[in-house]
Amino acid sequence: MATEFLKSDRFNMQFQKAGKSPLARLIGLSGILSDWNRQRIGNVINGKEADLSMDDIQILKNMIENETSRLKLDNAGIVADQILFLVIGAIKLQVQNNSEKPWQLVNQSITNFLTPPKRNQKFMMSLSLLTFIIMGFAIVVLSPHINNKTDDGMNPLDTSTNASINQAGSKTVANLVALYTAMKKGDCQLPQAAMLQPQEREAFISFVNEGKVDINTADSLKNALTYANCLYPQKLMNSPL
Amino acid sequence: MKNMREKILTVATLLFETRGIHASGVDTIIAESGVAKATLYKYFPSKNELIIEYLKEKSNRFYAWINEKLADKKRDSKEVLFELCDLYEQWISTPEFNGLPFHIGSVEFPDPSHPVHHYSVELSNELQQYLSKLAEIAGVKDAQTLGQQLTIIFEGGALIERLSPGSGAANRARNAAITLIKASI
Repeated sequence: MATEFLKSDRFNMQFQKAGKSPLARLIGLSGILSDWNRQRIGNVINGKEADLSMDDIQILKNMIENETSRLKLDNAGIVADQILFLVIGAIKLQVQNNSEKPWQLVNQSITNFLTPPKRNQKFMMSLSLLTFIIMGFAIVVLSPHINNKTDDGMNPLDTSTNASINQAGSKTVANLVALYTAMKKGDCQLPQAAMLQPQEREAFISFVNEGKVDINTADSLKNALTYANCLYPQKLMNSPL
Repeated sequence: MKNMREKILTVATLLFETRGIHASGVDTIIAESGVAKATLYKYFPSKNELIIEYLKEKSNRFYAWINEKLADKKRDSKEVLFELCDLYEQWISTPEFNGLPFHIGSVEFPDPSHPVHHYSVELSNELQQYLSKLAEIAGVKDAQTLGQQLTIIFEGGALIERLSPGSGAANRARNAAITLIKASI
């Protein structure tokens, strides 16, 4: 009697319709089996009919194993066993007590087995928050050093941090003008204009001689300035007496 | 006279466990135990009472055995729960194991109004309370739920082990129970 339903297409279809995910289908399995068990309890004449056969258990085992294997868990076999024992146990307890309560516990346990423990979620959230705080702190602490590169005597020609390369805009032009001012204070080895491409050469000469930056040739100028090397006088932390 | 009662119960137990409860009639029990019908009814006014006594004895033997095994264990430690799982595996793996007492009663007497079925429910609740109490003493927060979950797992494992002895179901049920305990801590 038991095997008849568990073998039927009806049961299989009900199970497949129970949910789109393995977790949803396994939770749905409880509802299907609970309804079926409740109906058959009322129809049992001979006590032995209330018992499950090994075939019944095998059908349920295959079904549960199939779903847990889709979840790609490390311990899929153990989880499948746990769910199987709970399902079988719930069927038995429902027969004994005529109560739906065992199924609530089965669903609660399945959810626990197949969802990450809250402790880990909390841990991951704490870790993310800590990383965010450390990164924020690092940005705040390090950003003045980046902005003060020129003042600290580092190479101001490294425009990569000061201006967005390949994006000739007001920021790039402003950086190049600031660079021109800085270069005037330093001892610079400038590339021979003859080495440069015509467009770079024109922008470079205009920049060095007149301090002019044309927005249309700003990128060419930046390329030309990569050949320049400047030495700047060290700034002291405290003014000498 | 007490021996006579025990004799009847011993014979009935043997017959119930080898032939089944329904297949063992009062006449067979009388014949096998060599007592008069009146003597049997003096100690056990009905077959149902004899069955209930059989289930009670079986259940008492289980608790006596398990309490003896846990006697030297620290009850306020989670270890006692892990030990319980080992004992459960041992118990249902023995060749003599023929089912949990309350399982036998409810399967043979599915009618909820039957006195044997009713007593089986009591035994089932008793096991659940026993497990919940152990969990509570061991310091599990939701001891009630763990007790219920373990009862379900033990029930499922016991049935599979009985239907397919030596299949490893007892060990797998033990492992499943241990995982549940660890998750509850």
